[in-house]
Amino acid sequence: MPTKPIPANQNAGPIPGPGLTDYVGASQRVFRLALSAMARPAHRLDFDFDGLFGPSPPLPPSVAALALTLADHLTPVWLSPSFAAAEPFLAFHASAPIARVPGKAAIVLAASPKELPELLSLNQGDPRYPDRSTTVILGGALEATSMGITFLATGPGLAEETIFSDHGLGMDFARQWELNRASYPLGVDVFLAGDGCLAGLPRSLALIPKPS
Amino acid sequence: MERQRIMRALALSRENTLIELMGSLGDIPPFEYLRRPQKGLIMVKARADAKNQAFNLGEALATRCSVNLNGKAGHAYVLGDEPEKCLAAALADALAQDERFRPEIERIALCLEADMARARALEVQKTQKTKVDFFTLVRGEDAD
Repeated sequence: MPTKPIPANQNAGPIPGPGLTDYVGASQRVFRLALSAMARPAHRLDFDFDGLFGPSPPLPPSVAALALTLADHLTPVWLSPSFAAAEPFLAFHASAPIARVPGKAAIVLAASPKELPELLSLNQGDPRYPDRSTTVILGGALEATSMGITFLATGPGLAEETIFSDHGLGMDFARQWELNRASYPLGVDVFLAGDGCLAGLPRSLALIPKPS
Repeated sequence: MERQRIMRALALSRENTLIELMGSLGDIPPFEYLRRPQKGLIMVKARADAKNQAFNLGEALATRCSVNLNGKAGHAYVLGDEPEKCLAAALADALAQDERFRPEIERIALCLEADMARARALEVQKTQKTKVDFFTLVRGEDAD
């Protein structure tokens, strides 16, 4: 068996902060929450993310908890510029490789709608394996002020049209989302991870912008 | 002494011996958990000969732990469900990176190595008694 050379000092680089305190229980609860968010699209679910960590993680707690729950050594993660400092944290606690370009990532973490890469530039999945597309975890959206539009949300999981505030997503996101939905079953899924809350935007969801 | 050699001594040590020796250090700086002791299964790979691909021999229970002690990260992986031993080993790894504690940790590693050598010698001594010398047995077909 070819032995890999052991680095002289494995501690090179910054030391990551502590991760989830009760890592098994916490990731199970967050995974359940993520399932609920996708099953009930465009609906804000409240959750105490702060309580999952001891000292604050280098990412907003909701983004950190979701990333640690979903990422592992098989899922390259791309971090938007404001999140760059969290690289050692994710590499250590999730063993996740860091992707240099968003298109190569299985999970994209974006700090705000402004730092969100073009959805079409992300991995759209394979026609035989649509589940292999990128999952986006977008922070800073649920607490953002509205840009003056609301969305009418319809699709699987919603019995009737639901009003969904734009949360700073804007018309450009509405255009990208329409293209994302058009390529169904391919396309990306988006989690909006806010301060103490989470909402899911699965690729099957239609968001029709209306001036509010 | 190389880090690898120290970690080997720590990982293969007996829990009681290691904790006792670490206790002899006196006051150590406060530390923070990067990863609390957690147990899990690791896949042990093996190969039957030099040519063949490695295959999965089976899973082994292991414990891992990481600490941040005064800005030095200490990591440890040990076989079995041994959270206290693993924490002690991770602390020792962090302390070994501190000039003040380095000589003490090397001394502990040497003690552990000596302890293992003694245990091994005892084992050899015990099994030696039951050794059968096959050269003294003469089988019928070789008689002529």
